[in-house]
Amino acid sequence: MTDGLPPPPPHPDAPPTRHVVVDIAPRSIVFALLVIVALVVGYWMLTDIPAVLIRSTLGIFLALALNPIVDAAMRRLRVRRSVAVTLVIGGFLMAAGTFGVLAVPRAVNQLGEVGPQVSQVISDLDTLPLVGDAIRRNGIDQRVEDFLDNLPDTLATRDKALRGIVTRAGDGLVTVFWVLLVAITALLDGPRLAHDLRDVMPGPWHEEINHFGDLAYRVVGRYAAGTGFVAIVNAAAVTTIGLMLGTPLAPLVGVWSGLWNIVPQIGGFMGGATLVALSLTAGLHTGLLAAVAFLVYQQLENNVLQPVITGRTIRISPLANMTAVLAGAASGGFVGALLANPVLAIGKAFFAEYRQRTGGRAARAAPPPAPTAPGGNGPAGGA
Amino acid sequence: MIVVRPRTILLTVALALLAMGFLVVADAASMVAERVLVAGVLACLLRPLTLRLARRMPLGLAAALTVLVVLIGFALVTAVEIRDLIAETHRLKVAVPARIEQLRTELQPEHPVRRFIEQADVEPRIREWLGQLPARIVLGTDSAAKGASRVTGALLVTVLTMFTITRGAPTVEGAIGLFRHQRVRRAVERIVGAAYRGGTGFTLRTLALAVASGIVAAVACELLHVPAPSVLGLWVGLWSLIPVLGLVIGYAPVVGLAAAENENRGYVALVVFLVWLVLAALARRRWIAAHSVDVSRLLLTLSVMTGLHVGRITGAVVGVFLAAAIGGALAEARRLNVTGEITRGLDQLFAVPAAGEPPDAEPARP
Repeated sequence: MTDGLPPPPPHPDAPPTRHVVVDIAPRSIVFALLVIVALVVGYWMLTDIPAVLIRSTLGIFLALALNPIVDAAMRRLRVRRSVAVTLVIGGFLMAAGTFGVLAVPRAVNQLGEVGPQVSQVISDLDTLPLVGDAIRRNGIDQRVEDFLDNLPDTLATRDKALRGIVTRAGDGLVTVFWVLLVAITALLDGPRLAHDLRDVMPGPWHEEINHFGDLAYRVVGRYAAGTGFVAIVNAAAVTTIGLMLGTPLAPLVGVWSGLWNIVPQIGGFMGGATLVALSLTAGLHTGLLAAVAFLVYQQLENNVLQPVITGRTIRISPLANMTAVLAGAASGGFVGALLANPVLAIGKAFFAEYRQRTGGRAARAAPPPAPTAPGGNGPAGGA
Repeated sequence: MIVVRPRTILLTVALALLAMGFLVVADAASMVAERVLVAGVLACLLRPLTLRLARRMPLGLAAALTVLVVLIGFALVTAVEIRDLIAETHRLKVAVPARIEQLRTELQPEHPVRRFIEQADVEPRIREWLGQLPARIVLGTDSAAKGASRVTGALLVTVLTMFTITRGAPTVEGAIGLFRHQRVRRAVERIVGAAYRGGTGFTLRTLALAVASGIVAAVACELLHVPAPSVLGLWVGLWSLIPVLGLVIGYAPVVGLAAAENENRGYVALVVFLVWLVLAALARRRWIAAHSVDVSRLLLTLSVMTGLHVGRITGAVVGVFLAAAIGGALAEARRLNVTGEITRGLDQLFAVPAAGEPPDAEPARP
């Protein structure tokens, strides 16, 4: 922007006039177009291939959660990164496999018992205090029973339902494979790729890139590791509650709850609702007990576990947290909700760094304080 | 008071319109852009062979001959695959309904699974789906109209590929020549050249390894009497494009089917797989990475999986090329950066020249 033309003859009473000419250099146009292309690609990924984005983000998130274990394995066992990654991923897969071997056959056996249990619970609904009469009058219990009786026919006669089940099962397998693959390669090559990208930047920027990169990694890495740890605790707690109360499919509900726990805000409710719903099939009292036990655990998680584990890395007020998650979910769905907190935390950390630097510069630029009289409260006379 | 001149307003509005127009065109021409990208990648992959042939004949003729050779090879592979696929599909059409019928009769009449099999017409639906399988695999669809559209698209890509082989290099050179700063132009030339060499070398070697993996799997299947050896060979070859876990997933059905035929054959298939896994890892490190570019496995995975999701097999090949090209460009940019070439080039590019100063003048140094 340049101040160019000669000013017209000014009116004696008129305010002074400035003529501004904005010249946009061709390189600026090219730069603007490059930014637009990047935005178009980002928008295309968000709208046209959200599955790619979700799976890749989940894989990188899993890698960040497992990275502290890989680093610890490298330090303790004095092995190369590839060996440490193989050990950690192998252990992770073995744990998952052991769980599958132990829990799935039992779950399959229990599935056969869920049907009669559901019928029992539905017939018990009439006896509920306050709402029992309304349920009986409106025939809700009968409608639910009819729906469950007709479920196989409904699935059979609706092509979309049948195809949906098959497609979802296939998508689930692809997602597991994809997430695992991205996590493994991110653990193996993530640090190398980050160094390569840094080395492409001009030399004087390297120190700053290292600093801000470390800051971002500390925030996101600790958040991911903390979230993963809390999810495992959640899965263990829900499984224990389920086993103690005799909830059908207790281990699977535990895994389900742990996975949902990764999603901020609504994740806890989704896990708890499933536990209570399946506990209801074992009886109303069991359902109520499960609800109470889950609420007690949730209080423990929210007030003790979360602040201790992730509170040190992400100190964000609950209102800001909720707003960020809602905005993230609205703009980017699951990934948006998942990344809202760490992104906000990174923004906050960068802002704190900026304030610290500008504060430091201002302090250096300020004139030295004037010496005060002996015995005064100023720096010269202070303790 | 500030007066903004009409020229400035016009320029700003024109820039905003240009950006909007670009967005509209990019949105409308996304399919064309995909085909141009595929043609560009194919042209890069076929160019070395074309240039070799062009020593003895005109470039246009060499390009046509190269594309013809590739098309014939593709047609031969497809013909063999379709023959095997149809034969195996016929076997499956008999075996799968028989298994479903056996399952149905073993279950109680009131069992939900039996009711589901009977009321959902599972058996005829699966038979119909199996009948569509060859068309789905070859054309990617069982609809005739969509299949015709895909064939037309493939023809368009073929023509674009031939055009890009002959005219691509001068076009890229012309685009690089638009940079007026000599230092920037040199850096861009080196980076683009490295991307081309890295992408081409890595992808061709990776494809060669995939073909070798497929042949090993097919031969193993043939010797171990596993059904549909050529289809399984193609399956293994395609999976081997995916790094780290690709070969494991690809060989899993080979080992499983061999074990289903006979337990000892399963062990033999497992040993073949493990030996090939080690050899392929060695080939990746000693042959592919050492002679082209050492691509980050994370970059390769993200690129190949995205390509697979967007454009199936062709998309996966394009993904391999793009990952390798980015890897080659990054490696060259790092080499240039060690000597400070990129920093000086960026200074030159982004420094606004003073009035009267030529645009490619060296920026003032402190």
